Amino acid sequence: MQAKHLGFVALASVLMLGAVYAQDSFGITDYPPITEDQLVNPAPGDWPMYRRTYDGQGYSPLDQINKDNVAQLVPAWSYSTGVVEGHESPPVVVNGVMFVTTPEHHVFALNAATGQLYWKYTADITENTNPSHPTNRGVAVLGDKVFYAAHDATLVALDAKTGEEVWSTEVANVDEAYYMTLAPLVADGKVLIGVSGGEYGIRGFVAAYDAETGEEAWKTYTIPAPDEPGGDTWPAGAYVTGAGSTWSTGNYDPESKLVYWGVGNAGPWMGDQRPGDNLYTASTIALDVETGEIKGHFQYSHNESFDWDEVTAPILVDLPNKDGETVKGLVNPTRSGILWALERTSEGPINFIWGEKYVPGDVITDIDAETGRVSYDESKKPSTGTTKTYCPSVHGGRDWPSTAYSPDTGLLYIPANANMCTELTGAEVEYEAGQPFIGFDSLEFQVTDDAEYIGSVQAWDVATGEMKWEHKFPRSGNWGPILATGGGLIFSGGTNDRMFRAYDAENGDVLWEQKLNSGVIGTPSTFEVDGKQYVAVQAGYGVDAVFNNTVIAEHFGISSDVPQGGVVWVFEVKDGAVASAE
Amino acid sequence: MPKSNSRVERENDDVCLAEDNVINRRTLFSAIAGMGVLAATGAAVQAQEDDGPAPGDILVNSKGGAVLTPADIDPTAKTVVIAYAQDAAGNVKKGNKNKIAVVKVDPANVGSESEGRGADGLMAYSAICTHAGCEVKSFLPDRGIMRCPCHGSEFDPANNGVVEKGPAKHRLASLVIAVEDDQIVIKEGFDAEVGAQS
Ligand code: FES
Repeated sequence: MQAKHLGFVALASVLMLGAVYAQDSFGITDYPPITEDQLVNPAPGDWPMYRRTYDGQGYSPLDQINKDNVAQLVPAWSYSTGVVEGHESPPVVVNGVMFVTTPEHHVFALNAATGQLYWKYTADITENTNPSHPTNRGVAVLGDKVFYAAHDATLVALDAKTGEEVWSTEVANVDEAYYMTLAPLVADGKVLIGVSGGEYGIRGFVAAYDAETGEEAWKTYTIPAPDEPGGDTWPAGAYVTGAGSTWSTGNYDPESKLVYWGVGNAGPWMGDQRPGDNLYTASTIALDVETGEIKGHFQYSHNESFDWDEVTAPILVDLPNKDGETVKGLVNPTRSGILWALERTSEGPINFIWGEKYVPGDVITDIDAETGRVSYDESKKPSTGTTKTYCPSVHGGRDWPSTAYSPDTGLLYIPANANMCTELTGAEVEYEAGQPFIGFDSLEFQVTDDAEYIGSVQAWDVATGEMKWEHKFPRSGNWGPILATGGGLIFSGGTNDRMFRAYDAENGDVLWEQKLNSGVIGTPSTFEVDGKQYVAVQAGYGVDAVFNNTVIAEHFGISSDVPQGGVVWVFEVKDGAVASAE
Repeated sequence: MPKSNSRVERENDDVCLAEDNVINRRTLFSAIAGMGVLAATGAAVQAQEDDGPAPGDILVNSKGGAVLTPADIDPTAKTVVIAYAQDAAGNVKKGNKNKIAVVKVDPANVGSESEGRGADGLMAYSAICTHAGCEVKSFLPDRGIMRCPCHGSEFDPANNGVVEKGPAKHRLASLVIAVEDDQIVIKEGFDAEVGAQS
């Protein structure tokens, strides 16, 4: 054991010595500080945060690449990240610089137009970090800093020009299996983060840190203590290990100063071990960005027992309420297989408008028309000592991959998965710090016998609650986050054939596709440098998409082999082609 | 806590200048200092882990505590049997890292690495997935493979627990067992690190 460590460290130091150059003749010279205004109203050619804008729409108004010329999209440059596993982060682009993160704790700063590396930062990660989901979903920017949530629950601020650390703050204890994979959210001068570790008996939280100093501004637990509002929805003592992780980036309304954050499933998984609704698990919460106070919430599944981890934040969009008046709304296709339309109020409370099944499911039998509270088929709900089969599976109708919304089409685009179920045998479990705290004896994924497809891209009209089109993948799941553009296109990968595709946003026709080096579960972005539009995405299959694909491949009797290895891909339409298309 | 050993690297531009390759001395010294700290940590971890299943212990069912017999291990079952070790004084060694997965594979498939470690196809491994610490509970009888339900890592019990499929990177630790008086007796403790390893 000792020798192994020594060997490893010796190797690491050689690498370090070989890789650190005391040079500064190149690098980023022109990097005007990013202002808060630039985050509220990004320049059309920038992609300054996880979903580009605070409303989480994943939409760029750029239209130079459009339906007419997208067939001529070709690689402009690519960059090998040198690591395997899940490459999920969007290339964030400001000031012509691309910031992208990968597994194994790397942050790359690249010239967005040429692919030239400016710097590569590798975090020094505490050894006993929870390895559950070896991925990272990107950076946030403000001023002259880049913010990175490191896997060992440490928030780091880097100098955007050099990659050197400016400050770092430990946000939680890795010995209790807390870890982080999300892109931070910068809002109101603070850097907001959430945590992973819901399967290890953590108590989830969202916390905010001063962007300049790294000092904690507030920390709000997603599981209330007994004397806090919602504390009575838990049996005595259970809140301490109640889970409610927060591992996906929230969205923000700068007018009301409310942040909308998703909260994961409860722990342990079997609801009969923690009678009550168990707020705020499987919910969206509205937090006051100044104080962190929870001002409103909507719970998708009370006494959640399905591992439907509702961590993705809803998209902020205007839509009609029950009376047909246009209101500020939220839309969210959740793991439970329901697409929700909600009204967000400037005071915080969140009201139900409608909920529709977007993938088949056999658990939720009814949605209360007034409150949106669901009813369960109890024969499907997992419990201690029983075996239950239910659909959608623990990965849900949609897992973490982001939806997108186009204000041009009024459509919401969903990377969906159907016809997969979970067979779960519940069991007692004892809490042991840092160890799984789930409570099952067995867990199997099943593809339904008559499944004609698994993954799909769906487009829903948020005004009417109707699905407009669906593009199905007969032999693959879909783990591809979606980008919508002003060029009338949506871009997404997600399938086991390594394709990255452009679809007609209006009708779902595939207008372009390109096989990449690996499966594409990266979040696509688009940006402009010197008047030219590019589309960027990371290929790099990994994490849950791989396991999911194993089950699908076994069912259909096809190969489950999707090569791994990360590459940043950037595509362009060559100048001549743009001109001829115009 | 500053992340002092984090690294920043840069790529040469299209034109390479000689001074780009000057080594930063401060990094050299901090790297050497780091070696001592890590070596010390390694020793401490080992000391804590010494008290697991040991020679002479017998296997008992982790549920209910009944003494396991070879007949309790069904080679066609879709789950492994999770056992604990019980010492001569009747103490059961509990806790996550002491959980033992017992399976039965076709003796004809047992590879050279596993030879002499099991008893007529009966094999015993740490039940804790080396990926992120879930229990490796599923058994695929057709393939004779153990699968972790959390992220799908697969391990081959006929070949000393090697990884068939990630994300786990490290094999499962195995015990040497024998059958005596219809009980499953441990002859040697775990032969590798137990628990999640990055
Ligand atoms: S914990 Fe077993 S595969 Fe992840």
